[in-house]
Amino acid sequence: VTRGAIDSYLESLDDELRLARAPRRRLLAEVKDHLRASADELAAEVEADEAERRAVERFGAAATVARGFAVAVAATSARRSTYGLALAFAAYASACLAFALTASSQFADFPQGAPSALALQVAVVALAVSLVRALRWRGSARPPEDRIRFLANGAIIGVAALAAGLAGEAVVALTRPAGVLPWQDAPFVIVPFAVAVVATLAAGVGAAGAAFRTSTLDAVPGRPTHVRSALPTLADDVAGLVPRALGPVTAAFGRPALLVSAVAGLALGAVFVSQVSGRPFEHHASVALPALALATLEALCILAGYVALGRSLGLRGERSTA
Amino acid sequence: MRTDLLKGHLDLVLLSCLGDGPAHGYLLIKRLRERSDGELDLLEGTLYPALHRLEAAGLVTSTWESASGRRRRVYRLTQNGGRALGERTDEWRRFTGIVNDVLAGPA
Repeated sequence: VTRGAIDSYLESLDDELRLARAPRRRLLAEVKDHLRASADELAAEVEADEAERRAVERFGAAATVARGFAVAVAATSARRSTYGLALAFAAYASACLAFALTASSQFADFPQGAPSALALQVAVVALAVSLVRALRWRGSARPPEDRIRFLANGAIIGVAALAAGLAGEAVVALTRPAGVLPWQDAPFVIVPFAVAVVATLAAGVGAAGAAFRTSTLDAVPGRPTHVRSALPTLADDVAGLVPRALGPVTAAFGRPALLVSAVAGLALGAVFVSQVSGRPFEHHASVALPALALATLEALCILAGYVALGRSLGLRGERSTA
Repeated sequence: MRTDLLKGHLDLVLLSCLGDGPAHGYLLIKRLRERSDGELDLLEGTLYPALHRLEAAGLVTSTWESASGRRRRVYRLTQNGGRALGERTDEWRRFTGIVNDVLAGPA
């Protein structure tokens, strides 16, 4: 049996595939075996050349197969990157908790703890949105490509926030001698933060891999020409997990700017009250201004985060493209 | 039959075909064709992304095996895959039962 059509097909598939060397070689070997088995069987009925041609035709266009594989690989990678972010977040939050319990006085010594507070807030939003999507499409045969992109973005944003928070805390600790802990307490803080650093690095590797695999989708022919608006997809995904939530979620995300403004307003009030409460009444006047400044900073960070990251996370704006 | 109707159900169909025993990709296609009397004649290349996904999800596992001078990647159900097959089959039967009742109209 001459192998002309099969060899040509394998060359085309090799050109179209956007995979690392090992999975590429494995897939090409499997496809080669499949096509030869198919052609050998067909050769009982038709000429060998025709058998090869039919085997290739039944297998499908190389670009279609390559795209299907690229989507499957990107979806798996993006979903795993979300779980990696969840572990890194848990490790970092635990380290902060250990720090707060071990050195509560230093935790309140602004800006000690501020990088972590900001980082954890950004990361928890990215994680929550990504977890909804990862769980919603967990068993899906082929998740929509916009969801895969949002998952990869969420992992990158979440991990970047955690890494920036860890770096910020390190800078603050090293530049403020007052922040140095007694040695007997240090292991309770250093060990959890070291675990958080390792978990964040591992999550960063996963997130970078997911971002790369997702970016390859643009290079494989057959990209969907229309991507739905981001907001309905999140409402749809929440409703996919909890069908009864469709009405409230759709209503809440119908006016996202209003929703985020309300959250920022609530955060402003909560931070102010937390800073002022517990202090003697006669001290309220002296702490009111710093408390208001901190609360305003918190609210502004929420608004800035929404403006800067909302589109990448699929929380705001239209992503429709022609 | 329109093969696009299989979209979303390919995983269940493949798990079921693997329920007959370990198989390489081409054998899976043959099982699918035989079980459906040739009605489900999908593009064969769509099988491999689906197998990758099932393997990544821990529902199937695969190894290289040699037979008749050929090296073939042979897939088999894992314990989780067997459990998923049972659950999804029950779910599918409930779903098709409901749709059938609806299509049958008022009793």
